[in-house]
Amino acid sequence: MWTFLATDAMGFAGVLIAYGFLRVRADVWLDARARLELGPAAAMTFALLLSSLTMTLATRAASVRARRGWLLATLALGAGFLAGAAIEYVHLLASAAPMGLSSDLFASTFYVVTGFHGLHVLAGVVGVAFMLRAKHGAQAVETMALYWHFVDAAWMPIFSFIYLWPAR
Amino acid sequence: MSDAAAPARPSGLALGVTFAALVALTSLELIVVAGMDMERAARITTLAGLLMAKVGLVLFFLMRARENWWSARLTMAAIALGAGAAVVLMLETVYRVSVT
Repeated sequence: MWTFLATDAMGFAGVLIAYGFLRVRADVWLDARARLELGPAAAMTFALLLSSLTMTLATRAASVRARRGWLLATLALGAGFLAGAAIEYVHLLASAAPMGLSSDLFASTFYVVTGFHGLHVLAGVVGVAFMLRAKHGAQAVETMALYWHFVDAAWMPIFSFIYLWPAR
Repeated sequence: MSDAAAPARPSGLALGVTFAALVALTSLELIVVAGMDMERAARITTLAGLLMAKVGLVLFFLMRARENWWSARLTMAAIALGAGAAVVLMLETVYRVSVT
């Protein structure tokens, strides 16, 4: 799993380096708060943090029933994160000044970076749902948890760079 | 690997402290952005420090990278490279803007 995570981390590294280059070389870079809502993004971040806790508790659960309960909570929080991202996309696309994929560099990088991460969350949600349906042992849940924590860790620089860091 | 052979997990207290720290650090990030009047370079440096602390907590306490040190190094190097390069690029831009 660590080998897979290493290759995946390289993918995220490439995306983040490209984002950094494009941002610093751009003539104009909008302040994130001019377009993005910090509150919902913060709520999504806390949901992902909480999902890491529930996933850890799933790995520590003593019974299959308890494990399924924590996995279900993780699934709900992951789905909540994805729903938040989808609502944000719809809000941006349907606003008075729509922010489409090709509107400008800020928009393009925003959709590519958050979309790349969103696909990872979606894969995690599908994986957790699969674990709920099938009979998997504690070791399989541990492996899934490793991936889930990685996706959580990958969101941290994305949230920081896109939503928090001030524009030039 | 069977459950019996699994490495020792952090205690419930350590887990609780880790998550409390993650929530506190994220809240601090939001306070730095929305509630503090700081210079741009100071704000970016503070946010970079908070970010590194958060990622470190996840890697070492949740993913238990120390117990898989050899195989985890590549993952950590890739994360550090990506996030580090972006941080350096943006700080360099702030520096350039401040001296011109």
